[in-house]
Amino acid sequence: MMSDERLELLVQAARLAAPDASSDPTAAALGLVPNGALLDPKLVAARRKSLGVKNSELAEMLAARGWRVTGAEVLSWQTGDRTFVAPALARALATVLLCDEGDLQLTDSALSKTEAALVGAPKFGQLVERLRSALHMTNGDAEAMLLSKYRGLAYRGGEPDVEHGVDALEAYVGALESKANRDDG
Amino acid sequence: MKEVEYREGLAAAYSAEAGRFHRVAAGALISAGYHDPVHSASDVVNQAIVSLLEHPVERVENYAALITAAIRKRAIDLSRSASSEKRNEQTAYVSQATEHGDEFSQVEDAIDAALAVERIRDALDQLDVREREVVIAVAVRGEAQTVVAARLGITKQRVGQIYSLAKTTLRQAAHKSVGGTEDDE
Repeated sequence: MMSDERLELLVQAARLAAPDASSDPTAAALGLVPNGALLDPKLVAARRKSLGVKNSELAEMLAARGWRVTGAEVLSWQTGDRTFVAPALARALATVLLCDEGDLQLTDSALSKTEAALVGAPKFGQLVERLRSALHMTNGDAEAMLLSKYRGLAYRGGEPDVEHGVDALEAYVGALESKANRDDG
Repeated sequence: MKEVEYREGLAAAYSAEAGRFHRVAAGALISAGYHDPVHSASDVVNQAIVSLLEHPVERVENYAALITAAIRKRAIDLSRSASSEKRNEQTAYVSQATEHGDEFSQVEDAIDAALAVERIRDALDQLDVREREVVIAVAVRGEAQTVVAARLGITKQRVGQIYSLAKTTLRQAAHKSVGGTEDDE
């Protein structure tokens, strides 16, 4: 008979999930934490089309390299103003699209220094995840939404520093989560 | 180029299966009798991945399998090291034979425990909401049954009954994969 103590340990182990990438040193070591470098959706789309590759085919090409990526995610990388993906995945994407990473990235001028620091902050990644989960949206859309909100703050009162920007975005996400919970309830 | 592909293979596998790798680590540590196995799982995963990055393996066909094997090995090494330190403190009570143990048997146990963890994970999903809530409160969060009873508005005895029945279900699930361990005898 398995002891209660062992069973409880196995239950605790069974509840383990992937750690949040932004606070996971293993993910960081493997290049799986977004570092603020941004893909340009238009460049990604143009490159894909020039190769005559469908979104689903691009997803399959990445899946063949081990990445768990759907056609919908691939599509989301080509919409909006910018796309945030982990550096390792960005490299893989460039490889399958037969180009250099730099060929797919936004130039530095597209983001202010503070914006680049903001999107590279670990807390920003957590807020993206919370927003994605609350509103059932893609990571790219959640990131774009937060950046857009941050720019709204900047427009009204001058560009806030990263710390204040994150605080304001956290309050914003919290309010959206509460609303989503009420709607679900 | 090969190193780039190797790093990408590890990153893609980790990106897809980080949660399972952490459960494998916890299961291996549990089977090896390591203290605090669940909280040490992420350290084991990190050390295994760092080791693979520092000592690349040639011609990898399955990166997830490579990482899984490295995690098991690291968990077993860590447990041996811990028990060896303990023996050094206690000196001559344990024979040299058990110091090295049966490596094959340890790997088998680690595999069994990892399977048990995944089976229990599936079984937890099959429990009804109240059963799962009781199991998680008592076994994972370590809450007293009286506290759980008060929160759920039921008697402590009813909590005990629910927990007991759920443990039977979870034990049966674990035994589907575990052929027999020291704890089972």
